[in-house]
Amino acid sequence: MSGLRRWLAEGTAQRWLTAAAVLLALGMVAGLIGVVVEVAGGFFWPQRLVELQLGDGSNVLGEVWDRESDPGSPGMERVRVKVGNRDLFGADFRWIRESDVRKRDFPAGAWLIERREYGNFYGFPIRLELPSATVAVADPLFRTALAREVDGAHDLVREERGLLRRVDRLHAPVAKLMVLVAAAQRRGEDAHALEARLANAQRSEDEATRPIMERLAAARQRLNQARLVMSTADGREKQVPVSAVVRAVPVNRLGSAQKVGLYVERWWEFLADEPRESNTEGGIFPAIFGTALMVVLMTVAVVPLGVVTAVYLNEYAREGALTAAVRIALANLAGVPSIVFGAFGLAFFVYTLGGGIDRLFFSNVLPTPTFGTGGITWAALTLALLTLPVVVVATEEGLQAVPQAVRDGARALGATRWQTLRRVVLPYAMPGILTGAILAVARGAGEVAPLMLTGVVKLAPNLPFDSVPPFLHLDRKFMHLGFHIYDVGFQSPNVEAAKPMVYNAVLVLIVLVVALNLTAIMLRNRLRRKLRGSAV
Amino acid sequence: MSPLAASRLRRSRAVDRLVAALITVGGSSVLLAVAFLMVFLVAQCLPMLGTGSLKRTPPASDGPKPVAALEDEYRSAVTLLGEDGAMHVVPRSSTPRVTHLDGVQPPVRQGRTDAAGTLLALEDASGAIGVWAFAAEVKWHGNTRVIEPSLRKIATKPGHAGAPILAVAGDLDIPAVLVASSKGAMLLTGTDDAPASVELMLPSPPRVGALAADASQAWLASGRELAWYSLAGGQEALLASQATEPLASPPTAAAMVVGDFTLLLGDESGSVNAWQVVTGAVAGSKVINLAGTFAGNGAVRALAASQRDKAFLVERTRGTSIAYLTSRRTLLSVPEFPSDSTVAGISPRRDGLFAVTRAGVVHRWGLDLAYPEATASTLFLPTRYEGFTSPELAWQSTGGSESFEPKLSLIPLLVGTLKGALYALLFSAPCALAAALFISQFAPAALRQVAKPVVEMMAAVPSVVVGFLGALFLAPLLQRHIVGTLALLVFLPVVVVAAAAVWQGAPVMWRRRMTPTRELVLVSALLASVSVGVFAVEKGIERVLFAGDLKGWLLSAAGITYDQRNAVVVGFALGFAVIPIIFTLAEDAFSNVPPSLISASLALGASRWQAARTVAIPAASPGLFAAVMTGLGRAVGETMIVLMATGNTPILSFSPFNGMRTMSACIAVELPEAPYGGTLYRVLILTALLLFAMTFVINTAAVMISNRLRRRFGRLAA
Repeated sequence: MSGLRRWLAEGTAQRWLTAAAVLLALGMVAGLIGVVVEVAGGFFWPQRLVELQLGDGSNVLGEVWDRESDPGSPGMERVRVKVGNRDLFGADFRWIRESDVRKRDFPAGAWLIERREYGNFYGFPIRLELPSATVAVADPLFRTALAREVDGAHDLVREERGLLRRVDRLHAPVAKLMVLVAAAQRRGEDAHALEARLANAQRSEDEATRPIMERLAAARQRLNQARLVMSTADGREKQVPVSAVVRAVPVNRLGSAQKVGLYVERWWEFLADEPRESNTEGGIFPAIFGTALMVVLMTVAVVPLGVVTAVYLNEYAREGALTAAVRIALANLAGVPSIVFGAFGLAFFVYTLGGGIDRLFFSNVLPTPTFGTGGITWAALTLALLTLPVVVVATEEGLQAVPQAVRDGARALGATRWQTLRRVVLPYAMPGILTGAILAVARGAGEVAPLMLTGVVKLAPNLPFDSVPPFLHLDRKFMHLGFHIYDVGFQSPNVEAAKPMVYNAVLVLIVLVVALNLTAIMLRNRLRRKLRGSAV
Repeated sequence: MSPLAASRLRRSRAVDRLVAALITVGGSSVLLAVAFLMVFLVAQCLPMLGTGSLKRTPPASDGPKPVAALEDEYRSAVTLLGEDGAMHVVPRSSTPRVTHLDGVQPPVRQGRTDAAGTLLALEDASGAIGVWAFAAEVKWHGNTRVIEPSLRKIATKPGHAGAPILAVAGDLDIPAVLVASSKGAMLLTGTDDAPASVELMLPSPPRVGALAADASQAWLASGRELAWYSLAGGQEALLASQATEPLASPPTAAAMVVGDFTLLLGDESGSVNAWQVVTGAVAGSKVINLAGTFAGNGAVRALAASQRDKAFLVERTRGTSIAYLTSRRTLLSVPEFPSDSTVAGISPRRDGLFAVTRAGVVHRWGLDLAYPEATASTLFLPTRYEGFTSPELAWQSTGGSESFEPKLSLIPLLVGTLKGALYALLFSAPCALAAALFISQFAPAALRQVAKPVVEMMAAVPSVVVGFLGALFLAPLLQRHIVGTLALLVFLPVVVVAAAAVWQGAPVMWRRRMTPTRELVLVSALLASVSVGVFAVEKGIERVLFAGDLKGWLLSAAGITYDQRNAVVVGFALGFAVIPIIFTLAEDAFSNVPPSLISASLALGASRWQAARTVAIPAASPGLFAAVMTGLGRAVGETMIVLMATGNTPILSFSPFNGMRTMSACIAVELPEAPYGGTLYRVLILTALLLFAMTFVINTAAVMISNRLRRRFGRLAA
C-alpha cells in the first residue's frame, strides 16, 4: 500500500501522461503538415508512366496513384492507375488487381500530353501533322518540331485571349445599356431613347469587333491546323490538336535535371495561371490575387482604426467606465464567432448600406444590384471588424513598450501631446503596430466563413483590379484561396481528380499564413526584449 | 516671444486639441460598433414578432346578387358571377364592367369555386352544371399593364335538380364536381363525351364537402359524422368511406389546406377543427385524426384557405379572423367585416382579402401577415406540420414543390452545435490542459522553447485547412480504422500508467540516470510502439468484440448507422483548432503562479508532481477554467470545420457515429441563398444572434467564474 502511495506521490505516471499529451499535440501538427507536404509536394513531380498488360490481353498506360488491399479478394492488392484520356475512357482512374497484371514495363516512347480540356492524355505519338508537312515520330526533327508548334500554339492562345479581352471591353458599354433598358422597361418607363442608343452602341460594337473577330478566326484556324496523332496503349488512334496541348513530355526519358525543371515549371504554372476545367486544373492565380487585394483593403480599414483605438486606450483616456466598456467591447469582438460577423456583413454592409448606395447612385440599373450584392469592399470591411481586436492588442503592447521617460522628455521639451505621439511614441511603437497588421493579415487570409456571405465566388470572370477604368472595381466579387479549397474540395464534380490540386492550394495557404505568423512572432519577440530592456 | 512663434504655438495647440478629440471619437467608436452590431442584428429579427396588418381599401359596388367571386393574382379586380348569369369585373380603381356569359340561362341558382381559384362550377336555370375556367390575362398598352379576367366554359355536367354543389376540383381537362345526393354525394368526373360518376356513400345527408386539388380524395360531413374517401383509381359506381369520425357539433363550412393533407371544418359551436387522415393501428387502415382546434365565438359561416401557405380566413357570426394552421394561432381579426357577406376569400398571393355582400358591395383589404411560420413555438418546440402525424423538431428550409412548407425548428441546429462542441472538448480539454501542465511544470527548457511556437502555429492554421483534411483525409482513414482509434484512446493512458508502474520496479541505478529529456524520449517511444501495436491487432479486437465488423455490429445491436463524416471526426478536427486556445491560456495561467510557491513546496520535500498537484493546479485553476470556457466558445462558433467534416445533415442524434448540422454551418450555407427580408433570412439572422448570445454568455461566464475562483485562491498566489 505504501508502495502505491509513494508511486502516486512521486507521480511518474502522471508526468508521463502529461508528456504523452504534449507529444500527441505536437504529433498532430507534424501529421497535418506532413500529410499536406507529402501529397502537395509530390503531385507536380513527374511520375513514370507504367504500361500494364492485363490478363485479358489489353494494355493500360498511366501513373500509379494508390495501392490498397483488394476488398474483393483478401490477401491481394489492387492499384489505382490514373489512365487519363477522359474523352476516350470516360473516367480518369481505374482500379486494377495485381493478380490481373501479366507484365509491366516503363516504355521509353510513352508521352504525357497535358491538355487544356479533358485532362491528361497518355499514349505513344505516331506523327505530327502540319499544314505543310507530316513529321513521323521516328524523324529526328520530331521533338523540335513539336516543341516549336506547342510554343507557337501558346502564343496564339495568348493572342486569342488578348483579342477576346478586347472584345469584352468593347461589349461593356452595350451590356451596360442593355441593363439600363431592361431596368427602364421593368419600371414601366419609356425606354425608346435608351433603345436607340443601345442600337447605336451595338452597331459601333459590331464595326469595332469585326476586324478583331476576323483576326480571331484566323488565329483559331491556324491553331487548329496542326495536329498530333497519338496512339493509346490499347492501340486506338487519337488526334490531339496542338492548340489544346499545354505541355508534351516524354516522361520516361527525362533526366533528373529535366524532371526538376518540369517540377518548377508546373509550380510556376500553378501559382501564376488561371484555373481550367472548373477550377480542377491550371492555376490559382485569381484566388491568390483576390486574397491579397481583399487583405490589403482590409488592412487599410483596420490598421488606422485599431491604432487609434489603442492610442486612445493607452495614451489619451483616463482609466474609467468608458475605457472599461471599450475593453469589454473589444473582448467581445474577439470572442464572437466569425460567421456572426458574416451575417452582420451581409445584413448591414451588403443589404442595408449597399442597397442604400444603389438606390441613391445606381437607381437607373435597379433591380440589378451594383453595391447591393456581395463584393470585395464589403468582405474587406467585414474582416476589418473581425481583426480589429488583433490590431488593438498588438498595438497596445507596442505602446506599453515605450518608456514613460521618453514621453516625459518630449513633453518637457515643449512638444504637445500630438507631437509627442507622432514624433516619438508611434515610431517607437512601430514594431507593435506592424505585428498587429501582420497578424490581422494572417487571420484575414485564412478566414473563409464570413466571406461566403459577403462576396466570394468560385469563379470570377474578371479580377477586381484591371486595366479598365476605374482600375480598382470595389463592387466586384472575387476569388479567395480559402474558399477555393472549400469549393474545389467539396463542390467540384470531379473531387477525386481535383484533390491533389486542393492539397497544393492548402500548402500555399499554410505557407502564406505560417510565414506571416512567424514574421509577427519574430517582431513581437524583438519588441518584448525591448520592453524588458526599457523596464530596467 | 516673437509673433511668429506665438502663432505657431497656437496652431500646434489647436491641432493637439483636434487630434485629441478625433482619437477619443475613434477610440470610442469601437464601443459604438459593437453596440450597433448587436442592435442591428436584433432589429433585423424584430419584424418576426409582428402579427401582421390589414389595410382597408374603399368598397366598390356593382349591384348583382353575387353567386361566386374570384380574384386575379395581381389583385387588380374581383370577378363576380351574378345571379343574372353575367361576369361582373369590379376593378380596384375604375368602373365595373359586365360581360354576359354565353349559354348561361339566368337566374343562376348556385356556384362554387375551387381552392386554387381557377375553376367555377355553376348551376343555371336549365339545371345543368357548367364548369368554367378562370384566367387573368396580362396585356400591355404601351407601358401600362392591363389585367383582363375571363371565364371560359370547359365542361358541362348533368344537373341534379338543385342538389347543392359541395366542391369542384381537378385540372382543366377533366374537372370533377362533387354534388350532394340522397345517399351521400355524387362525384361527376370524366369529359363531356365520356362522362363518369362515382357515388360516395354516407348514412346521413351531407352538409359540407371538400375535394383535394387533384380530386384524389374527398371529404364529406353530415350533421353527425365526418367521412374520408380515397378516389385514386376508384372507378366503382359506389364507394364507401375509408374512415369516419363522429362530430360533436353540426358542421357549417369546409376547406382544404394547401398541401391536401388537412381538412378545415367549421361548425355551429364556433370552433374550426383541422382533420387529417393517418394510418391506423391495423395495417392499411385509415383513421381520421384531429390535428388542431381553433375556438371562437359564434357559429362559423365560411372558411377560405390561402393558396400559398397555411393561413385561412374564418368568418364567424361574431367576427372574422385570420388563423395559421402550423402555429395553431389566430393571427388577427378583421374589423368591419361585412356581416352579410356571401362570398369571401384570400387573394392568390396571400396579400389581400375580399368579401362580397348580398347587395354586391365588394370589400377589399391589403393583407400582410408578417412571418406567421416563425413563432417562438415553431422555432423551439415540437411542431406538427401539415402532413405530419405527430409534432416534430425538424429543420428543412427549402423544398421542391410549390406547396412545400418550410420547417424551421432551431433545436436540431442547437443540438448539433452543442454536440460538436462537446465532442471537441472531450478530446481537446484533457489533452491541452495536460500538455500545458507538462510544458510549464515538468518539461525541459529546450522543449518549452519549441513547443510554444509550434502550438502558436497550430492556432494559425486556417480552419478551412483543418476542415478539408478532417473531411477528406481523416474521415476516410477513421472509417477504416475506427476500432483501432477508439482502442488507442483507451490503451494509451493504460499502457503509459502500466509502464510507469513497471519503471517503479526498475533498479535504482537506472532510475537515477533518468533525466527529463530521456524521460521524454522514453514516452515518445512508448507512444509510437503502442500506436503501432494497437493498429496491428485492430482486426483481432474487432473480431473478438464486434464479430469482425463494428459497423454491422452497431447497426444490429444498437440500430446505429455509421456516417463517414461523424462526430468523432469533428471531435478530432475541431479539437485540433481548440487545443492551442486552451493550451495557450492554461499555460499562461500556470506561468502566472509565483515560482516562489513551487520552490517552497519543493524545498519542503514535495516531488514535482506533488508541487504541481497541491500548489500549481489550485493556484492556476481560475485560469484553467477560463481556458476551457474560451475553448468551448470557439468550438461553438467555429464554422468551416463543422461545415466540411459533419456531412451537414440536420438530424437530432447524439450518436458519435452520426453527423450533424451546426448553427454556424447552417448560416454559412443557407443565408447567401435566403431572399432578403424573407422568413428564412430573418430566422437565420436570429440564429446568428443566438450564436452571438451563446458565445457572449460563455465568455462572460468564463471571466466571472475565473474572477470568483481567483478571489478564493488569491491568497495562495499572493
